[in-house]
Amino acid sequence: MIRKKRFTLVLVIALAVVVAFAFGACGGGEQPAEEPPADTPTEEPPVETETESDDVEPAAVKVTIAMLPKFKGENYFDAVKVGAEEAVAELVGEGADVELLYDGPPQNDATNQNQVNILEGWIAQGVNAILVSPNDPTAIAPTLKKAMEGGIKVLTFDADADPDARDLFINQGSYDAIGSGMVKAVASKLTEKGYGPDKTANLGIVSSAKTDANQNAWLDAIKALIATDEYSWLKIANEETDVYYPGPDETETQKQSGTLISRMGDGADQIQAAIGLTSMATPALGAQYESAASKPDATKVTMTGLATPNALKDYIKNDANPLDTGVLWNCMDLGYLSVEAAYQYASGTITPESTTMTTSRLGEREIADKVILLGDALIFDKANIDEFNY
Amino acid sequence: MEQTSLRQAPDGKGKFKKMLTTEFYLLVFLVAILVMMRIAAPDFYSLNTIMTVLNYFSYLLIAAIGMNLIIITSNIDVAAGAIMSVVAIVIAFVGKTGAPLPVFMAVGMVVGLVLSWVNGLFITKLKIPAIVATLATTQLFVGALPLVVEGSIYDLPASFTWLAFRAKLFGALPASVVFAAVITVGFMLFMRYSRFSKKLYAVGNNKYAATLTGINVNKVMILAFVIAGPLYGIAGTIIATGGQRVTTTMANGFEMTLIAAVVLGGTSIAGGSGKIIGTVLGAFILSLITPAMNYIGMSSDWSDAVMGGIILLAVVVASISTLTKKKKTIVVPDAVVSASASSSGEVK
Repeated sequence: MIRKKRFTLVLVIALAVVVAFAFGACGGGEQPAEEPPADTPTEEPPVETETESDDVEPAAVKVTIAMLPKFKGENYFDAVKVGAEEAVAELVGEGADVELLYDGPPQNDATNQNQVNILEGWIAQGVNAILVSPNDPTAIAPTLKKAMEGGIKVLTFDADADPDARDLFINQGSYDAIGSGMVKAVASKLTEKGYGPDKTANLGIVSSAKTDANQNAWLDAIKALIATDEYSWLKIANEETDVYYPGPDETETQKQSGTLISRMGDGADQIQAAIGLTSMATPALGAQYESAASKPDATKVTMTGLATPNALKDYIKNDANPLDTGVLWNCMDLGYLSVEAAYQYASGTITPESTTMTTSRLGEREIADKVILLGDALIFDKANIDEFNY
Repeated sequence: MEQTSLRQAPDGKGKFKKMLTTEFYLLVFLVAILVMMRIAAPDFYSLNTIMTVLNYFSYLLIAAIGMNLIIITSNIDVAAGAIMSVVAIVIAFVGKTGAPLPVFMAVGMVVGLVLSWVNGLFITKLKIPAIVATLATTQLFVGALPLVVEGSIYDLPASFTWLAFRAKLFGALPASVVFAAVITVGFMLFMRYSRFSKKLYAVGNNKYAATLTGINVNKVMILAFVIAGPLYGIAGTIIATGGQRVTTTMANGFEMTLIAAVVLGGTSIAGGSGKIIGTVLGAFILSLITPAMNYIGMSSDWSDAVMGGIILLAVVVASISTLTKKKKTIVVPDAVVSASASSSGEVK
């Protein structure tokens, strides 16, 4: 009996450890919670105000930049991180004392609460600048404002928060730039395949959930563009059936991409071009084409969409697969520009009111309305895909 | 269907009435959908659409059979999706080296078995309710994955995607469908003829009575999880090999579709009843909904709501028919039913 009890006790302890581990792993923000009351430290900021006056010799003061992606994992943010680290290395090489903290929620638990937990920890530590890609622009605002009140420079990148909850937003590409990148990619390939003003082409689109703000904005940009004269030969024949909303679910995305592919072909009632609006949908289109039992003629249809080059490499290089191009912004440049902006702002080189900022790698970038724009969309195809490794 | 009528014949009631089982209604419903699609959207019957539906159906069904066994014992497994996600990542690591399908599928089955076995141990040895135990292990599995793999695994070789891209019977039928067919027939025979399957129903019906008849309840429950594990492994393998990139969240959330297929198929969540053929029909209906809606011109945004409605309808119909049956039949004590250990599902 005693032995049995002891066995149970051991099991219970083992379970407790396991569960604690599990929640620790998911929370990602456990340590901050254990810190003393996460009140804003008031000692740190003055130190950093000094920097603003003597930005001639930034090496004197250490600048800590904390970067919070929507989630860790997915090589989109990995590429951003690589760019961010390159910026830090460059700054350190120039004699500055910069430290980059990088943390985020796990991919499948990308919630606002997890981001807030991490932020609270950084606010308590008194970092100099925070770079955030918020999962929820409104829900994160109070925490960001708290950081700003504590004298921390708050910048957003990749996705914006409420404009009054941050000082600067590093925008990877306006919705229009990305939308036009996808339309251009599709239009040029379709022209090669014999479509044009004389022979219209139907678009099919795989989005995420119907509530997803980014995907909706890209879709609106695409719709606005195909309403113009230049691209009026591209049509979304029926928005109910030709725009797919599988949600953020891998198996559902694969299934619906498969359905879209079986509707592709060169007939007027078929679909000639498929566009994936998520990093899950675009590779799924490529894969489902490979899996299809009877493949639509690759010389009559084309596919493109948002995804990192690595996720599409094999499909793009394969001539038999009509996934010809991919569209993205340069993720590494986004990370680089974000850290540069955070550093320059924290050290006083720029203010939200500045109209330009300069970096050694990207040259000059405009600042308008507290938004720094990275630039045009990156369209990659067979010719240049090997240049990217993310 | 044949299985149903054979089993119920000795009861000596009207044969026609006996045919009015959940499975029968499901079959009618399924045929109705298929006929409606033939009239409303004949394009639906293209080779590609059918094969896409069948491929999804294959892995949904394989995993749902595992889930069915667990639910029959009156347990539930919400960790199934997480286990398949772990399987997907592990086999991607193995597959990256160029290992062939039999090797990484075997690895996937072992991973599924071990993780599912752990669930079974928590539930039986520590008496943790199944939903709590599997919820905790779900968090553990999906939480641990991003710690092991940062991001996704890319550029998987052709040997990895061979199953989805190349392995077609008669140049069209995905090999995954063949797997599903073999597994389904195997389990239908197993449920029909093995003694163990009777124990599954007995345990699900009444644990105490099952114990009294000499059944080792814990062992039966653990075995249900241990059998489900490799099935998750096979399903996870089919999902993962669907493309050249495997993420850490491949099958997260998929357990809900599995439970839906099982419940739609007439298995009571209270345990003790349910047949493989019901799960087959349930899984097939769920696989059809989204593509069918697309072809008749409805937005895919509605698919979740429509599936929910169908499941609700099925559950309501099942519960009404149980209520009316109970009024007519003499209630046989569970203990007696379990002791006789024959088709306890229907008698209840």
